Amino acid sequence: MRKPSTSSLRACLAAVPAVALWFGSAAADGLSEQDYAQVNSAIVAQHVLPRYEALAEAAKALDAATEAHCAQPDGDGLEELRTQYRTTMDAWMGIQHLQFGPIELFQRGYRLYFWPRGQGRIADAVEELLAARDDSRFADDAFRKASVATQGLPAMEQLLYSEARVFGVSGEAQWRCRLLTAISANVRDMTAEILADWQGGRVAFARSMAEPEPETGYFGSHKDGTLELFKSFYTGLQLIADARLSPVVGRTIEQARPRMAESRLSERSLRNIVLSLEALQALYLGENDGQGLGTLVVQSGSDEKLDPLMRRAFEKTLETARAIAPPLAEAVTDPARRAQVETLRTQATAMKQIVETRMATALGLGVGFNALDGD
Amino acid sequence: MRSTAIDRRGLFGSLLAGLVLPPVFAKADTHSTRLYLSARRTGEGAFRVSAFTPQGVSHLDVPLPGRGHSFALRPDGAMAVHFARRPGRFAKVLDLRDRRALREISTPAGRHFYGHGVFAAEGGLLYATENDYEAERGVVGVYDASAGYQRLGELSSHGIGPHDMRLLSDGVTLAVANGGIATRPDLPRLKLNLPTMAPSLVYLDRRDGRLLEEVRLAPEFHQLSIRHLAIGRGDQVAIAMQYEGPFSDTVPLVALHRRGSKPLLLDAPKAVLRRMRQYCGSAAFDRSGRVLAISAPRGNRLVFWDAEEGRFLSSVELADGCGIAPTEVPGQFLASSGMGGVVAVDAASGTQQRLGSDFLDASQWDNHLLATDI
Repeated sequence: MRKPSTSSLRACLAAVPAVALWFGSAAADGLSEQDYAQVNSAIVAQHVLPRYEALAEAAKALDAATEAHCAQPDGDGLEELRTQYRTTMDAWMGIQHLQFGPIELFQRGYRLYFWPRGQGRIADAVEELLAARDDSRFADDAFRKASVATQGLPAMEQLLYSEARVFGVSGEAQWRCRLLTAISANVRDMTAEILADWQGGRVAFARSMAEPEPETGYFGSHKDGTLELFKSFYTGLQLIADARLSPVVGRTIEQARPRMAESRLSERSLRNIVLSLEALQALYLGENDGQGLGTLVVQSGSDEKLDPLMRRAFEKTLETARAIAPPLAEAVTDPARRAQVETLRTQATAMKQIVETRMATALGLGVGFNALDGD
Repeated sequence: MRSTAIDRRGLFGSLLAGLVLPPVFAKADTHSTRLYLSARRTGEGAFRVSAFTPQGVSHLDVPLPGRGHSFALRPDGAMAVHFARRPGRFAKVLDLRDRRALREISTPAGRHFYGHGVFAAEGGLLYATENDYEAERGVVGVYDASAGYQRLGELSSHGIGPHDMRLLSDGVTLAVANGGIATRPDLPRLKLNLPTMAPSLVYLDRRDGRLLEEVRLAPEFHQLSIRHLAIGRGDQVAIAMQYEGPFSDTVPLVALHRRGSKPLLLDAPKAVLRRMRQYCGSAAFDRSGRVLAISAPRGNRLVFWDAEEGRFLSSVELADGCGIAPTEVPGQFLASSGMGGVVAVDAASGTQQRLGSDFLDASQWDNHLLATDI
């Protein structure tokens, strides 16, 4: 909880019987601002920045591969381009869970990855743009202000993996290359800007996280920084359970909906799940010898069983996910593989619930269920 | 509660000086009993809907199939309908005098509740905000309360994601908050159209669904989701919003509106606005209809304005404080916490007094708290 702002308020709160007696506040009084600050700084240095660096690097290579392929569409550049697309998606899955900071600015998150609204919308928007054959719509400024559905990685998947993937210098194929190039330049620029905004410049987001400003800053305290990391961690699990799995799996095999699978065209739905789980595991455990959110769970000591439980849950869930033979869209309707997918959904949902009900409390973040999931 | 001595002089005395309460806010019949209603989660994780007295004594406590949200209150106070939280499909009809659930209503195929509704026509009709998710359009379902809550039909909400809805004093004008956010029940808690969302406050004629007035904020505020409403004196509508844009933006979160005029964005000190963390949970006017209370559970704050003058009054801290309802004392509210417990808060002085009750403390109180007299 934040400190009351005035002395009169403090006096009046003192009259209220100890807040710590309230429900769910088995409180992590053991954690200090110093503890939060240390973990935040380790996570930024060892998790956030390296992963955004990897993403920016992959996007740069993707842009180069696009240029190369579109310069010589009859060559064998398409396979190289697809490889770079997959590398970029891998990098994105490694940091997509981070929901705050420079990614929020200029709608970058949605422009990079407009999801989970369904590939149908992406396909329609791409079709519409290609059919218009209008040069002015590909100008940098126009393109970046136009529909988010055509600007990012899902639109690129549509171009690279749908039936009509012919690129060239004449006719229809010319416009597809035009769009491909516009997307790759856009993704390259946005990922470079996100990294730059974390590291320095006017935004200098890593610094604003390391030096909170109580009254008016993005972060009022180090605990606020941890809260944002926690929310990203929770949202990451929520996306796996509620967007990547539940709608695709359905209640029964008859109700399975393979078409809802993420990255269905490039057949990487399961890979996305594994990579995001691994990224969340790294956020929890820490990586490159740095601390993670789990460090605070242990330090607080208020829920001793939680850390072993989280570690085991990550291991088991990853084990399940890795054992399923892709693609997910087939596995959900295959009687032989479906049980494994159902287990994965159950495990992912359980993880989300454990985090929701126990981890915020253990971290002393005081996130009630209205704050975490209100309406 | 009634025995709690709260100093209402000072700032508040002058605020309310000379204020004559209109009949609609006149003190209820002396034989009536004040009740507060809210959904809650128990220590075991079960969802229930409850009513309690000002002393914190449980009056009604009914299990729910899922998480609940808000209520429609029948004007005579005898009945309430409690709606499932989005994307739930159930609503419970509660007999507040008999202290039991009478029946459960369900949305038809292809619709789910958004969690809010109102009674109209002397309690004969029930209106509920609903999602026609295939078509991605908001609707207002109309149910015949005098005939087993049979669904009579639906009206367009003239927007996406209708959430809170209130009936104005003429008995025919519905004020509907179209939050602007597209959601689908198969992606239960995910927001699908944030880059293009376009929220609105609309006024409808409940008899034919005719659009009477549509209010939108300036284009730069298109990501301010208009979610919750409260009706003050002279049908002044308070709008409580949730910002879906970058957290680094400092934007207004509360506005006032009267039919036919422009919305007035309410100011607050920047530090208070920042602390609200871009998210309002509930809105309520006090008994006089002049003092507006807004809860900001993400910022653990309750914030108060004098709606007559558009003036910021005070803000107090309450961990996960979200439900808020007027008490029988002008300028005073009850506020409930998602971490357990309920407090009485004085808007002018910012003093708060906890209601001592094991029942209140052992419950995680959900989004909305409503007051009614039976």
